[in-house]
Amino acid sequence: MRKSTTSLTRRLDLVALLGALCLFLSAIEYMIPKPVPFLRVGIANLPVLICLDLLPVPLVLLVVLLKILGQALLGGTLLSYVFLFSAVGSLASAFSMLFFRRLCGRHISLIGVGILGALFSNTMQLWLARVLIFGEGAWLIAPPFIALGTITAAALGAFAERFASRSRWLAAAREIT
Amino acid sequence: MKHRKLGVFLQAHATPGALLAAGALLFPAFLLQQDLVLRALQIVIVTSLNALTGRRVRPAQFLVIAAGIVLFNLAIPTGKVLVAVLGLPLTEGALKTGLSKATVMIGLIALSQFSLRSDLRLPGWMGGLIGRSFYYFELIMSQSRRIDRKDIIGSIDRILIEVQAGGGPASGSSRAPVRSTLKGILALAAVVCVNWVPLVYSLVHPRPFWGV
Amino acid sequence: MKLRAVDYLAVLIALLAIGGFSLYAYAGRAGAGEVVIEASGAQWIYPLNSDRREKVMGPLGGTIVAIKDGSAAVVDSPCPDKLCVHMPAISKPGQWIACLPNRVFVRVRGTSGEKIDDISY
Repeated sequence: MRKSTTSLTRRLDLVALLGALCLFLSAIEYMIPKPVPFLRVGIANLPVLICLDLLPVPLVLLVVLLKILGQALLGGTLLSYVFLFSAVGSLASAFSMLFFRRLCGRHISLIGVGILGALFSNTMQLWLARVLIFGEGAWLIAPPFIALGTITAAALGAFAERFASRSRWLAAAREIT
Repeated sequence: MKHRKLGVFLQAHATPGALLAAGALLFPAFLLQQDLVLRALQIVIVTSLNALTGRRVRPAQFLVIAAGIVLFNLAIPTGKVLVAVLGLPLTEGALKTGLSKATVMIGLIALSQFSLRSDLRLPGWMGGLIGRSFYYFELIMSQSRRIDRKDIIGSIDRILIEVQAGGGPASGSSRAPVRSTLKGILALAAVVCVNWVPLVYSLVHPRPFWGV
Repeated sequence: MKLRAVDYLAVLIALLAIGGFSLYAYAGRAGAGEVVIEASGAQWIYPLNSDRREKVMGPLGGTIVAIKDGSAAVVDSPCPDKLCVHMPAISKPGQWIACLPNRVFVRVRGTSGEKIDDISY
């Protein structure tokens, strides 16, 4: 079916909305008081999980790009290492999630996808931390960091599954794409 | 965000792009700086500028980040042992590396905060997309009071439907001028020069206060 | 919440990754051992797996210790007979090299303190 311009415009509009949702969830996560400053739940990844099935690959990546840039612009971290960590983590997670979702189809749910995405993302970020700021000491927190990331990713994936099945907005969006 | 005098001035006389360019020019001044004391000075300068332009400056956050980075580096002892704390020898080499990395990290964060203004738009359709995304973001934020904790999915859903329906053409509210004025450019140039002074000093006087 | 087949696989992969990282961080690389140099009342510690040359000062002058490829050796010292320079490189916890005239003592130990170290035969 030929994509007409209006259909692309509506899809891009969807991308913009999903990007905005990422930023909104980032803001929420920022405001939740955390016992340990480095603890990241990553609820900003929820829109990415949701749109894995909804949009073609380039548009999913566009959502991720909006998430990365939006967070950097709003948080004022574009020129710093924080941006690099965010970009590497989000892109690693997005590529791996897309890959496994397309590869395994019905045999994997958003829980598994989220877990694998987190695994790739956190490993890349650990390596980056080792190179840029922590030195060899980075590996000392690798096991709990990965473990925590796996748990939060599984929880997020479960939430995403529930959202996907119950959301009326998403059902309407599926009609568009 | 309170707009202090410098902030108001820059808002009126410099485009977001000019600000970003100034930041980019200061980027190497941080990375090339080898002396820790001088780099700390540069951080103080940029942070003061941030405070003057009305941005929230949180030194506590900087300290936490610095402490974390230094601690991680101290975990692998390297160099002369300065003192042993709870059985872990704290070494000079590890401390220096840790402080060096921490100051670079914090410096770049402070620099980033200075050079980015929230109305920065990338050129082309990408900038338009980001603009639209920010517009939706503001719409969502304005509806965020309606989130019911007992029905998170439902409330997010409702907000999304509302926002999407209400999305007219993005108004692109930019109070920034289309072009920077001479006064603005001169001000930014002054900022860049001031920040390059410590680097030049360290290159000319090759005996730093406390170098890596 | 229905878990599907590959979900379990994902969990397994994650567990393997955690285990792998644990081995690497706590028993492997980070546990590779340290070189401790003592001279002039001070102590220097370096990881055994980081190649470097360090000079420590004793009463006679500077003794140079080199760490390379997981072992440490004294490459030069201002002592008269240079016994320390001819001693073989050390790499296992418990081994040591000493330059008595310059009062420099180099030894290898397991990371973070004197644990029960492996004794090799």
